[in-house]
Amino acid sequence: MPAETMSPAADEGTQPARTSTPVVELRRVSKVYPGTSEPAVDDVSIAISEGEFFSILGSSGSGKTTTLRMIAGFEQPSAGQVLLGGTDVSGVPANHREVNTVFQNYALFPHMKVRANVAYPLRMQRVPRGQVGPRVEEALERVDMAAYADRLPHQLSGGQRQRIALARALVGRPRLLLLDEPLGALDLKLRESMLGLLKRLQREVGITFVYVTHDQGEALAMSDRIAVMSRGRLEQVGTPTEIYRSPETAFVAGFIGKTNLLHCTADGPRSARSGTLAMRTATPCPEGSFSVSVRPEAIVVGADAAGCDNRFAGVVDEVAFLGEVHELQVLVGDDQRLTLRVDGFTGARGDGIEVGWPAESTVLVRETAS
Amino acid sequence: MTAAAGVGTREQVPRPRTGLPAWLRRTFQLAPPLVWIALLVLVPNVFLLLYSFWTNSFGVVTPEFTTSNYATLFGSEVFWVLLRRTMVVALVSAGLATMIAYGAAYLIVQRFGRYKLLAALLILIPLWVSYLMRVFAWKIILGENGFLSAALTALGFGPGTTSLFLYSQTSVIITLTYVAIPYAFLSTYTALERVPTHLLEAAADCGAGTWTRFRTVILPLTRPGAAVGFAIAFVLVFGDYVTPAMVGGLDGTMLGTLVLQQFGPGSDWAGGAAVGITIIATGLLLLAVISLFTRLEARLDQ
Repeated sequence: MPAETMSPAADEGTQPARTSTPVVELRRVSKVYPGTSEPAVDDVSIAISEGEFFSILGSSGSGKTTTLRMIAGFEQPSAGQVLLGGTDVSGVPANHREVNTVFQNYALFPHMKVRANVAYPLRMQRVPRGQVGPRVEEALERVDMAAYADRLPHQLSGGQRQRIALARALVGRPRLLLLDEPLGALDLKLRESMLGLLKRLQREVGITFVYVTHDQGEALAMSDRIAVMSRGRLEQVGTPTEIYRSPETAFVAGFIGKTNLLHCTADGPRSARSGTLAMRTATPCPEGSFSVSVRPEAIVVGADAAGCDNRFAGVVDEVAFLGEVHELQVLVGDDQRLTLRVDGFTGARGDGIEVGWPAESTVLVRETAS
Repeated sequence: MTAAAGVGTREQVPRPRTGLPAWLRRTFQLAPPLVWIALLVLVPNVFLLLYSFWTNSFGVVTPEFTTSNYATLFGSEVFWVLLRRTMVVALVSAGLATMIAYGAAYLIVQRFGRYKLLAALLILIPLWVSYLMRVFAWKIILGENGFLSAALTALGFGPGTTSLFLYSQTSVIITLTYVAIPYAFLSTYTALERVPTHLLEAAADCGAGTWTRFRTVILPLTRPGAAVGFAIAFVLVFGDYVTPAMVGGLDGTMLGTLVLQQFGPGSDWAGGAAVGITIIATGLLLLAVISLFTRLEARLDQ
């Protein structure tokens, strides 16, 4: 295999136990569904290492599920290659790939008891009969569902079904587990407990997880690395911290958490101008137009703002109490609206206020071509 | 209760205006379909049952209870021969029809993609053609100067083979199979169509190949539908008299033919009713057996 360069961000960041061959590698993969002109996945290259918890994050229609389905073998790429463990698997059907999937709608066999559902992959692998029982028990115990082995799927709740689906996907000890929005159909409380379970499982079994989600909170909390997708294209790949702190594009900055995006032009080597606001930046500004992202929690007010590189006088336009913090909408300069979060705010709407943030919180981002 | 109060307390179910108790209201609501069923299903069958126990004297049925109709019927050797033959013909042709319909439905659901509906429609189109016409078409195909014998003659087989087809039990089975296919298809197609794609993907994901996917997922989930298709085909074929009359000849005579003869030339309505009841009873018995296969312990709509 020629050592091709992966997407630049894939080489950065902290990855546990990197081995020479990635478990999954996508090389310039595109997918155009018949009868459509817009590609569902457009020239995506990703390399995922052994033992990694890798999330693909995007809104609906971003191509994240199609990407996953091409790894699983349910779809064939229109262009590019999918490599599993260094081997090109183009044309290899799903049943001959050492990959297991957890589906959003669980996809448990409705006519089989929980035990038979979990035993199914083992039967397909022709595991000796004597080993099937203990391995099924073990898998069910991992997801705390040993007591439900003799139920039928429709006798279980959504969260329980998803646990069974997890057990079925893990029982065959695949090298790679694909999860297609596995928590999408669960309510908030269940999601939280399932998140914990997933993270624990991944640590215990040491299998590489590729986790597709539209929920940035899930992705940030669970992942070693995240790939953000938008309209079929890969926007950025990086650790949760990188994705959050140093978004490369306006889309990533806006999609991950709340942010203030200001459309800017260069005003000097390390100065950006948006309307009447001139901001100092930590990194050099590019030519032409770009955006800057300033996180709400990076902005400080009043006396705290005094020492900041970027300081502006503004008027409080809106105050919302969120519990831990207050969220303020402040109008600065030429009626530019900034959202910020401060602890212990005592003022009121209409008050004059000074806001500020350090130069390194002014993050330059590419504007995504539309 | 006033309208205003009703708006104020939304949780309260509005009370019925009439003072009738709930069970009586339900009965009234159910009345139209019940009357419908009674008139079209119950009454005719009750009459058939009554007739089968009434006395026939020289073509006139008098309401005097007797079991002699059944005694005569069960005592006749012809009846048992016909029952056995009808059973065999109906089981074989309903079975064949179900298998062919299932295969066609499977192919259509799996392979035809967005032309699925069109293909399904093509299978059902023969239903628009008159039953007689369809049977007659087979008479042409199977007949002495028909398509099949012409083809065999052209291939060099002697003239002895040409009369193999028409007026035999085989020709009845062929024709009835053809007639029953669309009916069996309706139910098998619906069952196959309802198997969710994600279940097949999950099976493939677990390592199951095409045949294993069929055996472990599709077949168990569609067996009830196939059983219903078989039942419909069986009931349809079991009482048939047109096909045996047109392509059956003497060897192809079935129980339905006997009913026709009793009510028609035989002028023995009571005896005919007894045969009719026997056909219905046999059919119900078989349906009871089939219903054991239609139980599905799972729901597909999870």
